[in-house]
Amino acid sequence: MARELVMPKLGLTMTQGTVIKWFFNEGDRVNQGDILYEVETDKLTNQIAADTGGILRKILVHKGETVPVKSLLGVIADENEDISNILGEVKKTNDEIEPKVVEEAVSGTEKVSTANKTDYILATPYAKKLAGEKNIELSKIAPTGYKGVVLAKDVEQYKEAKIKATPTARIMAEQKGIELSDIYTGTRIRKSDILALEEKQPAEDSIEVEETGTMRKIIAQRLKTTWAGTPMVTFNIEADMTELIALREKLKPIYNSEGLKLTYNHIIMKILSKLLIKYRYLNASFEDDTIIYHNNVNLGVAVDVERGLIVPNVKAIEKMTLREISSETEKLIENARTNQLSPDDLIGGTFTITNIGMFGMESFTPIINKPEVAILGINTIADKPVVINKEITIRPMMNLSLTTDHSLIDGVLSAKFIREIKQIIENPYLLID
Amino acid sequence: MTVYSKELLEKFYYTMVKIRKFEETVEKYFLDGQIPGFVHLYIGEEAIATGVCASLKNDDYIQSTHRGHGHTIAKGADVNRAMAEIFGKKTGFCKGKGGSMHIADFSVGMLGANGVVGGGFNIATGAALAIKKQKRDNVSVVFFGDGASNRGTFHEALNMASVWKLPIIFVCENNEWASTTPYRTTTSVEDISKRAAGYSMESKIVDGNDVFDVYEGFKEALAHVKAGNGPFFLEAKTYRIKGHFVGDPELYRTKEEVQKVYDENNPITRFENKVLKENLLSETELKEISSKAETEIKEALKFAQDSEFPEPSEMYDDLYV
Amino acid sequence: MRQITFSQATLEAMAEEMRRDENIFVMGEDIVRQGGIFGQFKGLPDEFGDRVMDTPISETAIIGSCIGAALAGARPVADMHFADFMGVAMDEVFNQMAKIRYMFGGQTTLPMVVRAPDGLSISAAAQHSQSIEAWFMNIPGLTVVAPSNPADAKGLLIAALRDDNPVIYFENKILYREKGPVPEGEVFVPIGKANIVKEGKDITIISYSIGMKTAYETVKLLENDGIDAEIIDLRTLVPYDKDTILESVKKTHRLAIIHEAVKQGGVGSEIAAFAAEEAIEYLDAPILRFGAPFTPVPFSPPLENEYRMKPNKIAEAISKVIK
Repeated sequence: MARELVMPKLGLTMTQGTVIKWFFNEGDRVNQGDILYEVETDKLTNQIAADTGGILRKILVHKGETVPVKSLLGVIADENEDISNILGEVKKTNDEIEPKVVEEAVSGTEKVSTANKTDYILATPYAKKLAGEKNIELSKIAPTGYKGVVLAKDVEQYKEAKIKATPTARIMAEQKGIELSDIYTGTRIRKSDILALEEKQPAEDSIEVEETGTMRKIIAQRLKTTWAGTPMVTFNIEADMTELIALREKLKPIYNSEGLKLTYNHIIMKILSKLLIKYRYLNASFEDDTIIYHNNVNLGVAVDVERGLIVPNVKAIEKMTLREISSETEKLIENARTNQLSPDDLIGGTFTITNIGMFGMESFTPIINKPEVAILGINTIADKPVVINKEITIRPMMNLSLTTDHSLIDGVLSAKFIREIKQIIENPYLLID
Repeated sequence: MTVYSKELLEKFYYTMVKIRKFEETVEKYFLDGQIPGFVHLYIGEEAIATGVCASLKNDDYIQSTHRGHGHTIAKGADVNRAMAEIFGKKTGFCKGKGGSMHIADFSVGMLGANGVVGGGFNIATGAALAIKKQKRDNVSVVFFGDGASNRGTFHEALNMASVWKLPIIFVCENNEWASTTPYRTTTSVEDISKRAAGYSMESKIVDGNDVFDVYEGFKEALAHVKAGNGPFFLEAKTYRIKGHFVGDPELYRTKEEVQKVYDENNPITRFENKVLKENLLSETELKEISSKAETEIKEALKFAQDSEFPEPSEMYDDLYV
Repeated sequence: MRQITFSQATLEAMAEEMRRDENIFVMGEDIVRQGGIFGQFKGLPDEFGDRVMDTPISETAIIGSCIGAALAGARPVADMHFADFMGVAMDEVFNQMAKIRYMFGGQTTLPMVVRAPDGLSISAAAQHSQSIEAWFMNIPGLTVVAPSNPADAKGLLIAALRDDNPVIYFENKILYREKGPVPEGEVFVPIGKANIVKEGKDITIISYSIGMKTAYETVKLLENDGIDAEIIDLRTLVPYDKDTILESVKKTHRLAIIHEAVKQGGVGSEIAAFAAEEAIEYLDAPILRFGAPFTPVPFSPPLENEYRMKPNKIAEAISKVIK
C-alpha cells in the first residue's frame, strides 16, 4: 500500500519547510519508526519517522530544497507497486498551496519541479526539441500541460536555477577558471568543494563568510522588525538576593532528593507566575491595535542552542507549584537542547524571561519577543557594597532588566511591576499568600 | 455460295496461325519461367477473333477479356509489343504496367483487356454511346465468355444499349467453361443468346470454330447495327482447348474429352481442310503463310526477351495526366 | 460580389463548360425530368438537349459507360444521385476508372467526372447519409475534390471538367442551399491546392466540404478562449496539398482535422499520420481528429444529432491540449 510522504505542518504558522537531509536513499527498505528525514522550519528542526514500512520508492524533494507544507516529498510503497498515479498528482497538489515567502529567508528554489526525475519525462516533441536546443534538462522544467506534459511554453519560460555557491567559492572558482555548473550537484558549493578539485593547499584568505541557516534568518528578520517597530524602554532595578539565596539553600537539598533542580530562575518564574496575573497588561499580546489579555501565564524561557536562541514556554504556569515549575522548565530546556521540542512548546507564550547572568552581565536591554509586550532579563549575582541603615555592607545584588512595549505599557506601570518583583525577591515570604 | 477473295482467305489463315503460334510460344515460355503472373490462352478459339475483326476498322472499338491475346492480334496490334508486354518489358504496349490480362493497343481501337470478368460490357457500351453522339460510322464490339453473361454488368449493359439503341455488338464466345465450371451448371439458359431477347435485342448463333460462319454472322450483325437498329448479340459456340490458365491442372475434365475436340473441331485444321478441298488455297500457300507467321512470332519473342524491364523510377509515370 | 447558391454555382459550371466543349455530356438518374433531386441540373436539358440523359437504375452501367465513352473521345459526367450508391459501381470506379490510364501504360486519358452528392441531411438514415471520401484516400489513380462554398464549387467543377484525369466530385447536400459570393466571369480553382482561409498562429485546423462550417464556428469559440487558429480548406482530397499542410503545422505547432465523415480511418487519419511522420519535432500537442462515431448513421433525430459535429466540444478538446 503506497504511502505519500508529505511536508508536515509542524506548527500553526508553518507554511513551508526545508529538507535538511534524508537518512535513506531511493530504493532502500524502511521500517516503521525509522527516521526518514530531517526538516527545518523557522522555529526548529525536526526528524520525521516513517509511520509505515516498505520501499522508499521515490524522493521528490531533496536536501536543501524548500517546499510548501503538504507538498509531496516522497513515496513509500511495495517494490513493484504502481505509483504513477501518485506521482502524476504531484504537480497539482504542490501548486495549490501558496507559500508565504518571507523574502530571502527561504533557501531559494523557485517552483520546484516535482516531475519524475528518473522516470520517462512526458514532453511534446516540440518541447523536447526546444529543450535540446537550449540545453535545458527536461527534468528541471515544471510541466503545465494536461497529463503533466512539458509544453513548449514551459521550456521557454524556464529560468535557469541559480547555482548555489558561497561568495568565497564563486570568487575562487572564477580565479581558477572553474565552471560552477560543472561541479554543481544541487547543494551549495563551498570553498572546500573548489579546493577538492584543486588538490593543493589554498591561499590563506582573510575572510570567512558563512551563509545563514533558515533559523538565523528568521530570527534576524523578526528581531529587526520588532526593533524597528516597537517603542521599547528598559527598566533596571537592583535586588538584594540575600533572602532568596537563603531560601534556595534551604529548599535545594529537598528538591534534589526528589530529583528536581532548583534555580533562581525557577523561583523568579514562580514570582512572575503570580505577578503577571496581577499585572495583566504585562501578560497581554499587542498587535495591530488589538490587545489580547491572556488568562494563562505561558512563561517563555530563552534557551541558547547551537543554532541560536529558542524560547519554549511553560504553559499555565500560574497553576503550577514551584516543583512543577522546576520540572517543566528543565524538561523544556533539555528538549530545546536536544531538538525535541514540539511545535506547541514554541507558540502561545505571553511573557519571556531571559537569563545571561552566568556570563557576568550586569545589565542589558533584552528585545521583546513579539507579540508579547514585555521581557525580563536576569543579570549576574555579584557581591556589592550597599548602604543599609546608613552603614556600608556587602550584599549579593542582582540587576533586573525589564523591557516593555511603551506603546501599550506606560513607564509607571512598568516601574511598579519591576519594583514588586524586587520586593518579593527581597522578601520571599510574600510568596505565601 | 459466297465467294471469298484470296486476300481475305489468306488473311483468315494468317491471323489464325499467327494467334496460334503466338499462344503456343507464350505457353512454352511461361512454363519456362520467363513470363510473370498469369496467362490465359486462346488456343482453339482463333476463328472467332479472326472472323469478327476481319470486318472492323481501326477506329472501331473492341473490348477484350483476360483471354485477350487473340483479339489483340486479330485487331491488328503489333506482336512485338504484345509479346514484350506479356514478358513485362518496358517496350510493351503498356510499358510493362499491364501484362497479359491488361494488354491494350489503343492505336488500333483495342480498348484494353479487362481482368474483371464482365468488366468490359459497360465500357464497350459507353464507347458505342460516344460513337452515336459523335455521329461516327463506327461500331463497338465486346468479346466475352459464357461465364461473364451471369454478371450484373451484362444485364445493365444489354438493357442500356438496347433502350438507347447503341451501335454495339455483343460477341459471346461460349467455350463452355467458366474457369473450372461447365456453363450448363451455372447458367439458366442453354444458348446465351436467348438472353438477348429479354432485352429486345436481335441475336444469332454461329459455329465459333468455323471462321466463315463467324465472318458471315458478324457481317449480318454489322449491317443491323449500322442501319441504326440498335445492338446485336452474336453467340459463337466454341470450346476452350486449354485450361483456364497455363498451369491449370484441369481436374474438372478428362484429357480425352479435350483431345477429341482438338482433333475433330480444331478451327485451323477445319479451315485447312476446307480450303484445300475446295481448292481455295494450295498447300504451298498455306505453308508459306504459316512460315511467315512463325517467323514473325519468333521475332516477337526475341524482341521481348531482349527488351529491358522498366526502371523503378517509372513507378509513378502515367498515374495522372 | 453577387451571391448565389452552391447548387446554382454547379449549374453555372456545367452550362459554361458544356457550351465551351461539345464533347461534354452528363448522365444520371432523374436529372432530366426532375432536374436532379436537389435541382442542380435544372434548365440544363433545355439548353443541351440529349447531352443530358436520364438513365436506367444501373450505376454500374452509368459509370462503366462513361468510362467507355471517355475512351472513345467524349468527356462524360456521371451523376451518382447519392454518393452512397457508388458502392454499387465500385468495381467500375476502383478497378477500371482508377487503373485504366496506369495499367495501359499511359496509352489513353480518361477525362470523366463522377458527381456524388454526399453527407448527412435530415434523418435520411444509414444508406443515404454517408461521406465516403476516405475510401479514395487509398485508391491510387483517382482525383477527389470536395468544395465547401459556391465559388469553389463552381471553380472546382470547371477544373474537373477540364481535367483529363478521372475526377470524383463530392458535393454536400446541405451545402446546395447555401449562398456565397461568386465572381462574374471565369472561375477556376486549381486541383491539388488547399486554401488557407484564415491565418493564425496557435493551431492549424484542416477541413473540407461541410466540415468547414464547423471549423469556422469552432474557431470563433477558440478566439474567446484566446486561441488564434489557422484554417485550411483542403478543397482537393486526393491528391492533398502536403506542402501547405506542413508549412502551416511547422508554424503553429498544433494540428486538428475536422470532417463529418467517420473519424476512424477517415481523411483525418491520413493527414495526421503524414504530419506526425514529417513534422513530429514541431508538434507541441497531440494531433486531434474530429469525425463521426464509428457507427452507421442512425435515423432517429436525437441520435442523428448526436452524430453531428459539435463545435463547442471540438473547441473544448482543442483548448485542453493548448492550455
